[in-house]
Amino acid sequence: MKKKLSRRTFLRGALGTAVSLPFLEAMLKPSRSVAQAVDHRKVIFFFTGCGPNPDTWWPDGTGADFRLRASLAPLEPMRDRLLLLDGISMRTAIERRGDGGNGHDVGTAHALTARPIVEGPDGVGRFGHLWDGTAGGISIDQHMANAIGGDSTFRSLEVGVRAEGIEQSLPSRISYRGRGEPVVPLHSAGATFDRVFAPLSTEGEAAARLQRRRQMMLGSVQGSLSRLRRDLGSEDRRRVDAHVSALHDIAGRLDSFEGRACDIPDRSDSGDYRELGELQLDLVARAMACDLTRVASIQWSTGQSGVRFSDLGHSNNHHSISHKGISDAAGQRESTEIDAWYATRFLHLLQALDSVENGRGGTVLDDTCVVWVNEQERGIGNQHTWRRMPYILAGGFGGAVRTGRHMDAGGRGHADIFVSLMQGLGMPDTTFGEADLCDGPITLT
Amino acid sequence: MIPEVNEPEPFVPPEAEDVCEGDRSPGRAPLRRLTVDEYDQSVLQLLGDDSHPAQRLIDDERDASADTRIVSALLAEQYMAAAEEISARATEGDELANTLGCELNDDCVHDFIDRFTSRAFRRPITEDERNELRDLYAMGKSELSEREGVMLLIETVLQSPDFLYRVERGVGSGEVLRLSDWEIATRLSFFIFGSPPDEALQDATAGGALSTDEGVAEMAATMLENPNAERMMQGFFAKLLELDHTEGLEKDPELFPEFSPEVAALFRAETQAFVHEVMIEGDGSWETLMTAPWSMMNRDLAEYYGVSGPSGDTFERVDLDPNYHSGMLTQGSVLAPRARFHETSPIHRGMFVRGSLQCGSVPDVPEGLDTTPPDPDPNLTTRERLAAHRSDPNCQDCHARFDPLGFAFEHFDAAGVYRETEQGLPIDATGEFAHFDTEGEFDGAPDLAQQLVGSPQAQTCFVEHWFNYLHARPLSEHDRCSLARSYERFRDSNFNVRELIVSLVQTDAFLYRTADQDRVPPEPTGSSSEESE
Repeated sequence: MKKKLSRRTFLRGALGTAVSLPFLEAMLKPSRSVAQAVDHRKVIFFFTGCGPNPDTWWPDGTGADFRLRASLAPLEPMRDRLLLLDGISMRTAIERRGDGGNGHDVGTAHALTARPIVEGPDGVGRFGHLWDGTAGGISIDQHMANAIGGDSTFRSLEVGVRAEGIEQSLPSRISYRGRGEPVVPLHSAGATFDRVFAPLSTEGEAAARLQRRRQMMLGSVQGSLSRLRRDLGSEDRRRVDAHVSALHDIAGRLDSFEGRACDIPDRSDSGDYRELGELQLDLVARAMACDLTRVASIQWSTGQSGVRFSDLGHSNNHHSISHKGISDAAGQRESTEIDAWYATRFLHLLQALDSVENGRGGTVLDDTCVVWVNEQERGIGNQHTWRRMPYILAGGFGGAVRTGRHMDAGGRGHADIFVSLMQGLGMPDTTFGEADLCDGPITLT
Repeated sequence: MIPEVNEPEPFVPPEAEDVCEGDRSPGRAPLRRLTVDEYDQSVLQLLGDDSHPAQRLIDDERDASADTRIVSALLAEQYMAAAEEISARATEGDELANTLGCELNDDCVHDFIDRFTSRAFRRPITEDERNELRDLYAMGKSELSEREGVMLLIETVLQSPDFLYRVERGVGSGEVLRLSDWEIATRLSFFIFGSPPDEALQDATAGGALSTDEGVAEMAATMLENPNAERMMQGFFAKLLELDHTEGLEKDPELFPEFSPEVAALFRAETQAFVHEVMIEGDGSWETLMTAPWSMMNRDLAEYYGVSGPSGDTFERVDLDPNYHSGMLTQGSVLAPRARFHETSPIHRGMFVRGSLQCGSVPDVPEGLDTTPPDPDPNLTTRERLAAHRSDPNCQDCHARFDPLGFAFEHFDAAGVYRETEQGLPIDATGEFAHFDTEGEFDGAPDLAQQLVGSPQAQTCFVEHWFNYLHARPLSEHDRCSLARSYERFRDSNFNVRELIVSLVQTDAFLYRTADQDRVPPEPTGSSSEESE
């Protein structure tokens, strides 16, 4: 399915500034010279909450000979591009849950950090209308972004689909720059467009003048920040350091803003869960296709998802359904319907990535590994457990993942998947998160 | 597995004379960054820019404590874009002279630097800052143009940490420092007005009005009389009652055909008008908020509720049946979101009372328990269908803490409307308190509310919410004395919320800060500007 993306004469730029298209084309220069496959590899994390219905999620048969069941049936057109990973637990969540938090907090915080929850300065949990405590350190997407994102226009991209509400006692975030530093995703497709596809400056002479002003501003503000940090205690200094690092990213981008020729999508927005989600997926796919970034995450709702699937005719929200009894027939059916709903969106992303050629005889999906990460093991039966976790890897990852299989990893922790992917990106890491709970990379080929 | 449930220690309200001994104890004061609303109010005050530029920032501030609000690369970019938009508007054509207050020349710009930066930083500018900004302007002017030099100044100040953060250094030496008068003015102004100190407050501060505790109390009392205090009142009650939950609220259209998103918006407007009527126009009493047998409605809302009310769009006071209605607690904004799509949820309403009004704990659901809600049954009321919670020992221990509190509201259906019966069956709105300082029974919402008003645990809980709102951090044991002093004053004023607010700004937590013990930092790692990418 190849999409023809229309162009407009004018695009609404960041915060509404109109910029003319020719500059965008100038800005998006042709790509850097072709390097090894590893340099083209990309990773996308696709997070959904509340767990699947295991009875319909896990396929019949193993190896290449498997049959998708109701939860994943929508993915049939991409069957050969999937690696269904079985035999993986969220080991850190089970063995080193950390300080407090409910089951949903644990699943969300561990999903990409693989580290115990830590107390905030005032403990952990909800205090009146404030929460405290966070995931215990950097998440895998940010760690990858630090390692490989330096040459990209965007070190990483984080988008959310109705992920702004805080239903849990922790920050309800999957992505962290470090302990106590949740990364807030872009909540609207318009904001994602403005950030990624509206340029950081305007045309020609004016662009150069604005760029110079920004450089002078950054010099002054960076100076003020470093003077301020000397006056602060360690906790406050940590916060200001995150700010310093953010400005450093901007300064780097001002000095070398480049992308590759690509189609600019239209700017549009929607509040509808499905439409907003698909717009966000399209923008992430497009950013990947344009080589503007190599690491992205998509957070669907929050862990303890309050989304009610009215288009499926559900009267209870996702979280309530997941708390129904294990043999509750309506709950079973609704849980499966939600799985299939998300599988359809997952398919949408894979097709978007597959609709763009990578210039080397394949598609962007062939270069990418899309990792479907869930918050917990099962979405029915009122359990917050992490033993048989439903991970799916999709896409060829530049030859580093052999797809079209249902594979048993034989009892590994989820951080081992991350180790395999890091090594696929050329990173030297042999562990992630709780090092002693890692067994090394899982062979994915 | 049955969760372990400990009988709580009997609740004893804090007594200042027991907990306020020895040194001052201000607790923590994490560095706070301007919220979205504070940013917008600041640029409005500084430059008359009313475009609410911060509404488009990506900022997870709802419910966030100051500790986890971090500037990401994305947010830094958005600050930059916002500052550039603001500076472009402020320097466009004739607007430039308006912004500067004089004709563009070096002297004029130097005056502007002093005035603008002192307002933006909420304190007098230092000599070093003045010189640096003058140099910056000179550089912008020579490389670019005078106008762009002014833009550069505005953009730089609006991205400076002294603007974006509420920097507090304190004065003097020792382990506990009193905040400077400027820092106290800033806390007062953001707390009560939701905006930075205006010119009048800055002048009063410069004149020494805040140099004593009494001066701070007087200033707070004066500020509470100002219409801008409404922002604090609405902000606080929106958080306490989680009014955001009215957004996107859906009800089964077959059962509640009159309900619509417009009604949900009216619910919110009702509560806002009620808060205004009590806190700004009225007696400011917590008891009134909890128990008033009246509310604020316009024609559409009164029609929806099925009561006789005003004939126009303006919200006016409407007297209600005191046997069923009780202040903010029985308003649609509170009861409709705490209900399911097609039926009430005494569980959620009870958890609101227990969690938000009593500050009591609500344990997690035990693993593996079948919590499937019973299907609707035409022959049973919701209460009767939840009877298993009271007979099954797996459920009873937890649900006894909140289900009965929710039963008090069973006269209000899932869409917030009073009902005489449920499916033709009589409604039982009685219940009993459990695991709480108030023991005993109640019948209906007004009775429940009246007992809460008399309960020291609920009284203290209300004070704690104000404390959280003021300081954007949870209470810790260091705040025991601050809490006790505020509580005593609240109690002695017969629970007057305005008195409570004045007492909060008299505490150690408000007037002092703990000196940073570890100020001399190691060289930054991982984020220094020297680091190569």
